[in-house]
Amino acid sequence: MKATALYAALAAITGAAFVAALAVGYAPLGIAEIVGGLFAGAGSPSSAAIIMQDIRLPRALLGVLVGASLGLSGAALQGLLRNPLAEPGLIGASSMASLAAVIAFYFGFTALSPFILPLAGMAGALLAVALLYVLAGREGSVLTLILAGVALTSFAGALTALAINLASSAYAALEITFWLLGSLSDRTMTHVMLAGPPMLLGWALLLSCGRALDALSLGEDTARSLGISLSAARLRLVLGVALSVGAAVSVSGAIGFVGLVVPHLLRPFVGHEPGRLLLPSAIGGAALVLLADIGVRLIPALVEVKLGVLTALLGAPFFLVLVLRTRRRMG
Amino acid sequence: MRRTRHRRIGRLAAGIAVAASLCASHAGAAPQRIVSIHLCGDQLALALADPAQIASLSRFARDRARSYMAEAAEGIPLNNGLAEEVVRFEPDLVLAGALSGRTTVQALRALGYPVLDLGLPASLEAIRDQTMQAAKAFGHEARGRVILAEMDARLAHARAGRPEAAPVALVWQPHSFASGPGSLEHEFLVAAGFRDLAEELGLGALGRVPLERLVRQRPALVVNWMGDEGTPSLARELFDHPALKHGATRRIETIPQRLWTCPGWFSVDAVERLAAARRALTDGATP
Repeated sequence: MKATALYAALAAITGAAFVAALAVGYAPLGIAEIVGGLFAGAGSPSSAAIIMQDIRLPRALLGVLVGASLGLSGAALQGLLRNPLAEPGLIGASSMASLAAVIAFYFGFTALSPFILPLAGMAGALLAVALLYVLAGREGSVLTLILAGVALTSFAGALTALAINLASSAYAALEITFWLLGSLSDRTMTHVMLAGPPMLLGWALLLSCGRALDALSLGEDTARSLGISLSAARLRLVLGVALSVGAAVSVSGAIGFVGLVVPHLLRPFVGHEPGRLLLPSAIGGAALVLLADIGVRLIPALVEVKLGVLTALLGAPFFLVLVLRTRRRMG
Repeated sequence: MRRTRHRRIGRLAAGIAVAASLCASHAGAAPQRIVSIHLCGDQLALALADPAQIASLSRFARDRARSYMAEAAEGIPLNNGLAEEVVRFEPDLVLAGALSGRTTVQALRALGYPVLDLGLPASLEAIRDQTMQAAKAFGHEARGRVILAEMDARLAHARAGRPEAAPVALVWQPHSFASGPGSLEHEFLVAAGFRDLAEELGLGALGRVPLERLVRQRPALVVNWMGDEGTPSLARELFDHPALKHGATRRIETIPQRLWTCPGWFSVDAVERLAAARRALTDGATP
């Protein structure tokens, strides 16, 4: 498929999903109310304006931001580690970011400044990606990578369990548990403003690595002979993943498997050059999270099914198939 | 060995005596070493028993955010609610409750200690029953009647002057939970002179009202039943949501934790707060 056709198709899907995310919700609104509410002047007291501007718009915008961050980070990590199973959730970046956010939230650090929460998420993700790189980075063995990711995820999980254990009340413990499941419900424009800029900065860093990733797919020596500074590219990738995934997790909780599924679905369309996969994965990630977030609003349940639960339910079987296919190829 | 066995038999006998007094409701052998391992038991013991009757209270008893009777708990030894600690106090009555570890309660019963297992009252009637049950168990039935009479007087006062057209209110919680008919929250709303939005939407004791529907329905009052004390929480963040501030409701009333963590006669305080909010709304006066 031509690149332009792919971009056009992805943009159309994502655009449609964005419009649908604004149109779907718990209060039935007519088209006139949706449009009127969305474009009503600031401070308009109509309930349609409040619903569209204060509830649905931030939710849809965060769907785009979080989804694009996860899809792009997945594609970048798969290129960096030359491994099709790399994903922010599987390698421990999401759980370390969650842990840091839980600590910041429940031990009162977020009361100091609203910037603490995204900063904590980014620090957690950075620590995870850096540790992973030290543990399993260069040789790119599937086994070492997955095991290092499992170790990091378990460690973060143990410390999160400790936080739940030491939470000041049963209610706080319940809140942590729910928050960890990942959700975009009832977020505000403040969340968009706090987490948006670091995510955009992360995207810029990741998208600047396209040529380096293409070269790296030919092997480190070839990449070096092509004049690519590998250490600089790696630093940009690690920082980019930390910024975008860390900020995303700090507003939404952990939403798994998006970074795994999206690059895989799109790889056949772009050929096997990791650099060309980056931008499509970002757009595709946005579409997937928007669609999943529409899904959780349509499932009838006493408690809204959490977004992270839905993506995990869809993503885990996908991961299993992928593992089996990888084993067959290797065996 | 023999002494231990003697003591155990003695304890068993005391247990049977208290159990008998619980059943027959005559204050023959009032307990002298009450140990509470539950916040609800703490409230009842502090209000209804003599200080000399209380051997130990739960570790939450002095927590001012959650324990209404916190001040009265000063100076009384605390416990963490584990069987081992309870046994050390050699209690003749243990107060446990809905959130106590079930294994602990079973272990204490197996050892022969009389355990009064308190539920979380979900209605004013349940509060009355539980207060009298505890008052009888402590041998102070009259005290139970006194604090309940005071509660009913305050309730009647809060009910007074209810307007013809009651304003609409919603008790709302994180994850969009709303309390409707069958819950204590609903009973309090109605007692304070509100119509319950959850009831009008046809919801039960625990239903769901997403923020969007709340905005659509515009209740005059939204009640934060979770309080805002202690650690920062998602609940507090939710009640700061711009949608609530931009005209979805006219007023948000926060009910402190100590009034609902363990509902009791003192929870009438919450009804009074709600009634004051209702008067402010219907009089058009600002609080």
